Amino acid sequence: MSNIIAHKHAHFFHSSAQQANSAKLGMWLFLVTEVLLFSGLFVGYTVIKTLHPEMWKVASEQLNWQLGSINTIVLITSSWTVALAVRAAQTNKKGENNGKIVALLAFSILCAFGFMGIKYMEYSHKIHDGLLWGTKYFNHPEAIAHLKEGLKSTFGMSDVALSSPEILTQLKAHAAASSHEGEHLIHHYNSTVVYKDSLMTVEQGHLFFGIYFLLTGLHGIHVIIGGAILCWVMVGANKGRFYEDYYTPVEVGGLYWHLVDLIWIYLFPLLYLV
Amino acid sequence: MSNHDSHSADHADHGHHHVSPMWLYNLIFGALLFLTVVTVWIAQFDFGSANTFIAMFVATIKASLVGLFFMHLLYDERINMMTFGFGLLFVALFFLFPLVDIGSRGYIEELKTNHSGLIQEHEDKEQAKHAKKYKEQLGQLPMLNKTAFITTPEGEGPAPEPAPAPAPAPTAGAEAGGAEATPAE
Repeated sequence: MSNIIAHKHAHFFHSSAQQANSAKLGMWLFLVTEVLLFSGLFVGYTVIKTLHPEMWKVASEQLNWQLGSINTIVLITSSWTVALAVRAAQTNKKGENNGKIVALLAFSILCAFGFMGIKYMEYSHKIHDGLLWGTKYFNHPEAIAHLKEGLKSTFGMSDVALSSPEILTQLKAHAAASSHEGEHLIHHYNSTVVYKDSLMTVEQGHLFFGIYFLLTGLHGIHVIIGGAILCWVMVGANKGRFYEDYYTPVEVGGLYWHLVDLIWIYLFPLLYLV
Repeated sequence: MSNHDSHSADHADHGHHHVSPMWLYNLIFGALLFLTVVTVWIAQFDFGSANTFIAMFVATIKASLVGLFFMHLLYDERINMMTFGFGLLFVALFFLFPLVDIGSRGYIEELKTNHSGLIQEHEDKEQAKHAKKYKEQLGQLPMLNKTAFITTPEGEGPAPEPAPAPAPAPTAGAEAGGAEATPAE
């Protein structure tokens, strides 16, 4: 017996094909607005990067490109499985592909979770290190004062020593000799400074992390929404709603997911590599 | 063009969609993974200002593969590709103006540091020109005529009319604002 629920196109459409094409065009229009939404942040990225090239270089090196690469592969893989799910729906005649669609979508949703998991690791690391936006950025004068206090009390350093070029080698020697606390401070120090041996050089670093969190955060929201859409499509596929004559939700949901992938394809090199 | 439009409605659904072969999806997936490796690999070399350009070039190839094959833009109605294309066109426009702005700032900075006298001279000239124009315009403004300003109710008369000040004020009040103005008074 047939394991599908037949779909009847809405009466104001001439045919299922027309309805499907209309839905798809509507989705593409929506995707354009999504691209325009992101492009504002991309323009912000371009402007800030051009105005502060040196800050950008130091700050972007704080990102973990290995995790970024893994996330790229995760998203590309999920995009592939979603495309295959659409294909399985396209060739689903009597419900023989229902299980396949569900499995492929389930895998894609798993990828969404994986992506967000890795994102969580990255975010918590950034939050821990104070690599944040605006005044939350630990290079805020207060934070610097705090860091300097820490360095002074741990290593007994003078203010002069703190702004001297040899400070890093000194710190490393201290860390090699001593405590866990020292290592921790050095880690902080490393991520603040060391472009031109002065604590203040990366002063505009909060701009980079502002853009970083806005772009990846907005993208992350899209991953979550995309995952939810895929879940909804998966439930429908499990009931046998999608087959060769009607697979619009699979395709349109898939388009959304591909867009999420598309944006990450640009985000990854722009933030992690360049 | 789509050829199923000519079929009758009930037969139109069968075979109206293009189904890409499995090997194509797998090939694109492989290409995307390969290009990801290329992006990461190429990032370790420093090409100076070309770094971003190269990264964006590879990313655009990847995005095109996703768009054309995974999102079926290549096989769909052309209107979808056009829609997205126009969207990208506006993104390009959006990028253009800020880029022109920040791209020309170096030039302005250079002018400021090396030719500050020239700029000052130009600014003074402009300022003098504007001051002169402003004075002329001040003299022409009918609103600044004291009698007209006070007697016209709510200033609702069309401003550009260069009417002689004392005469039109009572007539305007009688014709337009008079009826509503009297109870208020």
